[in-house]
Amino acid sequence: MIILRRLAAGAAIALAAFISVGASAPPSAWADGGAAATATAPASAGTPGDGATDGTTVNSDGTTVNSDGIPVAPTDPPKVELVLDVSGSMAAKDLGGMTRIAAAQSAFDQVVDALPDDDQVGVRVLGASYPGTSKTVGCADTQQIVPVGQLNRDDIKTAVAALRPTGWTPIGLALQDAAKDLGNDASSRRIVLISDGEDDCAPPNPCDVARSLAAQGTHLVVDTLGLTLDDGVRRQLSCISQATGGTYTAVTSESQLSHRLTQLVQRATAETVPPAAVSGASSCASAPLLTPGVYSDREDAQADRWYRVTLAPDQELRASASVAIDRAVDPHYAVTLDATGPDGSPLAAGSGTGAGRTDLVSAGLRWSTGGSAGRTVCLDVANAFSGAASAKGQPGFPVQLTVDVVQAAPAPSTRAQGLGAGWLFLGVLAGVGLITGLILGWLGRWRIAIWRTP
Amino acid sequence: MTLTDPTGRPGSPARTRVAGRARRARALGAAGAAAGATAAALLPLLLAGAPAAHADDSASASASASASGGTAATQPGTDFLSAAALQPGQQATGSASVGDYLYWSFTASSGQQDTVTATVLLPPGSERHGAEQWRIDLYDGLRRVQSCVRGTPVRSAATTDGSVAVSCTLPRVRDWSENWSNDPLPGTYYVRLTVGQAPEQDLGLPVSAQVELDSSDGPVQPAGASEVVPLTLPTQGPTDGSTAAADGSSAAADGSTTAGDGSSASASASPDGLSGARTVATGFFSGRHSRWWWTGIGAGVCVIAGLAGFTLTRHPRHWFSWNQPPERPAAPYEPPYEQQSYRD
Repeated sequence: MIILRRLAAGAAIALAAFISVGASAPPSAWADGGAAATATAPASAGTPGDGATDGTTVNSDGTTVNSDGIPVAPTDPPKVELVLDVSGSMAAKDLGGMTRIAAAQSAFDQVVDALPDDDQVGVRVLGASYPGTSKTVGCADTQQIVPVGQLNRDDIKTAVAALRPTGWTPIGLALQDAAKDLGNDASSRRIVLISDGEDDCAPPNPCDVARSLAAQGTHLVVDTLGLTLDDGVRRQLSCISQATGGTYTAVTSESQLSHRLTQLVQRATAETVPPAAVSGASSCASAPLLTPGVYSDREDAQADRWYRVTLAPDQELRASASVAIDRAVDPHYAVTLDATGPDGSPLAAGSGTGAGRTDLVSAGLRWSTGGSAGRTVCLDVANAFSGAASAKGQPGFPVQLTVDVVQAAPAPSTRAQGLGAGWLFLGVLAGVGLITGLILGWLGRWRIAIWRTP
Repeated sequence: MTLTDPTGRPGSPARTRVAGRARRARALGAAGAAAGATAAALLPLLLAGAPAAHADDSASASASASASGGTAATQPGTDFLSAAALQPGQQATGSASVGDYLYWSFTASSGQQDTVTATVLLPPGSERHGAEQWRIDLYDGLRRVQSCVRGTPVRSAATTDGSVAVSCTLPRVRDWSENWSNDPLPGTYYVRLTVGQAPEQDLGLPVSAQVELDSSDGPVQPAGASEVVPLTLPTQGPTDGSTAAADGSSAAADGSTTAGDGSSASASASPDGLSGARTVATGFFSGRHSRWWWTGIGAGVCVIAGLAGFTLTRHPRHWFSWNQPPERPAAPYEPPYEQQSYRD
């Protein structure tokens, strides 16, 4: 019995020793996790700059680069210009008993009251001054009545209230001038076009004008509001909005117009910083070097664009490319994003395919250096769009490329696979322990009983 | 084999039962005290160890929880960058036009399974020109299309229908996956709601949409993996000069500093205290070293159970013993527990 007691005491000491070992060992185990987690932030630093504070320059192609030639995001506040059609047809009285122009004026009043003071808003009108029949004069009839700048409610209300339905509908020219009003200083730019008629001054086709304007600047979106349900107007306005990634709304009442207009202007001025413009190369060797961030570019149908990213050891590259479909294309399409080494060896690939109506097709990939030395990775964004897309003389499709570099996560440890986990496992161990204890106890009693048997 | 009491005397059943119950209670109490002491010794380790590893998680969760919120953000965005944040259990509504692409985003953590349900209130049937097919598409943080494991992501509405509901349940989010795989990982997910096929004349008509996100937690797979950095890409371009790389990495690390209005990344809506306690428990039961913890504690439980079983059989008059306890009718009182032992 004394022996058994000593055994029990020994087991208790062993248990205490296990607990104290547990007390000393786990902190180191947790400490690795903590170290790995905190190492994430500094380790994912890409190519550090040399401390330039504000050495940005805007290239001729609209890209903003810092003193190292690396593209950076612009920081100007978003701007919005409202373009109002004041052509003769705006006198039609079909919006719930109001004329179209009266509904527009009322909506403008409500919008400017709802906006915050520091919004950058301007107003341009088209067809507001020339009532004659000369196409040459009528198609040049567009004026900016409130310049883009700090919101001035009284100016806007006064200027808009004075408008009377008058002339022609030079939408293409008005869009071109509105883009000029907004400037090209790499801020987020938005045009809201309110019209009730088809452009009667083509060429240029306003849809093509919108597409080429969007391709010139860093970020230009045209939202359109149609004050009539006419088929031609709808086709033209929805084409303009699709060409720039905007929205088209058919307005049938004054309250709908003011609600939607407010929503669009708020969306425009709340816009996040637009992506940095970059111009991809036709091969990896000459490709621009990218740091983590969002970039925008253009690429032709059936073409590809190359970029480069530098990775440190044990880092993971994450990239996502989406190509917007800003014109009619054949119904089946694909976008591929490939990561290759500088020598062209394939590393990773992602693809996105689709059919039918869509605004964009996107693909993404992950690739890590696998703990070896760092290396340069080339990214290739390619598309397989066909049909009307291949028409010459049009700007390329908008590409948005997002690059991120993070700490690679190690694969699950196989060393611990021989261990157990879970409540069932715990229950089995407890049961086995209990049964073993009982058996040992009974065996002990049985032997004592045998010893004591005379 | 005959089992006899060491004293060789038959016991009285009634007395045995009472005494046995009392001792059983004492023995169980002792075992319970031992287990309690073990637990008390281990608990501080868990509490001390876990926060170190998960401090960054809870920090980012609280940071993004404070950044998100407000009802304005529920108005859907028009692309991935402007996607409005969606919170679990919250219903986001938005007004739009037929043909718009409406984007929301939400953040999923590992072990979570999310269901997105969207209801579109259609314009009056008299204004529509035919059946409209509405669809919901889900993208992960790398903007890869995710397939639904359940739900009806595409549904057609006839002109007689006033609304159409589409839904999609994503696969359960995993903790880690190979680089080349398409497995769902923690991070941002995007919801895109739009009309797939519709008569051209319907474009531009006003609609309103309600989107709801339901999340359920479950087991984290694979076991023993360290969680990947959440798939949350930067939402803005690189900033100027020397800060470019640092900003990019911090945006990647927690995803909460990326957008000024907090619309791009947001964490679960659970309060900090709850989520803190949950991460401690989750870290222990499913963290990278969880198997070591489970096995170590299992060994301790095994030892305790063994000792308890052994103790139960070591005393006379115990029901766990085959031997009948000694009957001592002459004894005027029960000797104390400590004094009861075999004289060997």
